[in-house]
Amino acid sequence: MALRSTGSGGGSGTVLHLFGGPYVTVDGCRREIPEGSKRLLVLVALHRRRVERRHAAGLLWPIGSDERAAGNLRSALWRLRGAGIDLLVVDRCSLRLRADVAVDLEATSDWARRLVAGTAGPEDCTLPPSWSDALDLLPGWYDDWALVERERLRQRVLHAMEALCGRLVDVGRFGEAVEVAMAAVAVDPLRESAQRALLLAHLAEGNTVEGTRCLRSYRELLRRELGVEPTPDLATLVHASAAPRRPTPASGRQVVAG
Amino acid sequence: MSVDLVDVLAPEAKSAPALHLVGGPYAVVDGERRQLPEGGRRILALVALRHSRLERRAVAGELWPVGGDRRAAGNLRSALWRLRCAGVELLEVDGGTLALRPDTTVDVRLASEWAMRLIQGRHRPTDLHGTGWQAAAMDLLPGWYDDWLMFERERLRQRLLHGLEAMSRVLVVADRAAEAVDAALTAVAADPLRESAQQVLAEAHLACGNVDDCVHGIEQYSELLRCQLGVVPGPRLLGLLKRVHTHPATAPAARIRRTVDHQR
Repeated sequence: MALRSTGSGGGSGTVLHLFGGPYVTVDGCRREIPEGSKRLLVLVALHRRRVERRHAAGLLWPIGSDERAAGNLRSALWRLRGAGIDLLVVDRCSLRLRADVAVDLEATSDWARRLVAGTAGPEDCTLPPSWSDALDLLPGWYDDWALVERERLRQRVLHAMEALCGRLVDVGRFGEAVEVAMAAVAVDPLRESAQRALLLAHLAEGNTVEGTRCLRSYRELLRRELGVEPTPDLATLVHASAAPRRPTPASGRQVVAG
Repeated sequence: MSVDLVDVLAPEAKSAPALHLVGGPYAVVDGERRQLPEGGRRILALVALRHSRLERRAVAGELWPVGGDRRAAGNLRSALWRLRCAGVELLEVDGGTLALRPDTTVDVRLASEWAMRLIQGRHRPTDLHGTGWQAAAMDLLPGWYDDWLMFERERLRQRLLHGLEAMSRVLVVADRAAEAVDAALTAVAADPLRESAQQVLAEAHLACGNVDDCVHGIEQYSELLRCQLGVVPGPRLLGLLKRVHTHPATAPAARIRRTVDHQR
């Protein structure tokens, strides 16, 4: 939570920024990480716990001998110290992030976890500024360990957005609910849970027609891209919301006539 | 002559370079309108609507999906070059990415921000003036059928409709019911089947004291729904109708009208 204010670069303490980075800010001053040390620092940050030196070296430099990898690791550590970036606690066999170093990803990740777990407070009911960065962590990095973390964070944030949409509907903030759901749909138009959140937001607002259109365009998209149909209960949602509004011929006129 | 959103929403940004998508796309650089070359229009529209720095490869693939990566990259290069020749330097281009220059004003971003301020209750007094431009902005880049655009168009449409509905509600509370009706009607005109717009219109009519208009509006809408979809309005709108019918004197509108009569 405290991180939200430091996201733009202000604030105090040492922060490792992965969004739009990696780079480090110390009391709001930006410091660049030497190119050869970026992957090491990010790997340790993503592991959160202590990492064995040998394990880290093997992940970062999988090609070549172990001695070579260990040498590369030593030189990456040395370059970090040379650049005055003192974020790691290093001993003979392991590496970890200093306890007082914050990582920007953690704040977003915690926000998402609170929403998914249902423990979010009112202050969590907006998208954090970093949400779009969080959906594409470290773009252009193709290391296996980075890909896994990217996908994990992406799923977590998408689930959080869907949960947030539901929360906003519950408190009657329909405009924002539709907005959040559409953002999730934009990230992955084929994702059914996002489409469902959007549909539910339209229906909760009383906009049956918008809901119907939304279902139709999703159905067309699925047919075109994958040749499959949406799960039946998605259509059921729309019909169920329209059903009580389908009048018997007599009563319909009556309601209109008042 | 199309509406100039920058003029309406950010007159103070008049001197900054601007990208207009409504009624365009075209650029305004040094106060002078510049036409955009064909490929450049699509690049600028995509970058402006995505709000962030984009990878060159992603842009090329999105805009020229047919014909292979190398061809797409070539098209992108030549479109960027033609933009520069046209004297439109709104993009920051480096080896791998494209972004809009940070000092560029984009008209639909201003429109989005206007709507979000109203939706989230952070509006400024100037946000409550005028409903002339929203209809034009709602049909973004008509005639373009790219997938990425269809989605952004729908997103902007939803945002502006919610913005107009919020504006109408705010105006009712501020005792400016006539303007509230106008805002609600703009939303209804854009999508007559949208129930939340009909709801705020009915409430705005009532706030004016026009019980007749309110009832008539709901009846017309019911008729439209019945013909088009074979359904009746939702419980909230019908509840409003019932309240007006059973207790016309306690309906909010009648109360307001009484107060006004009293003041006379």
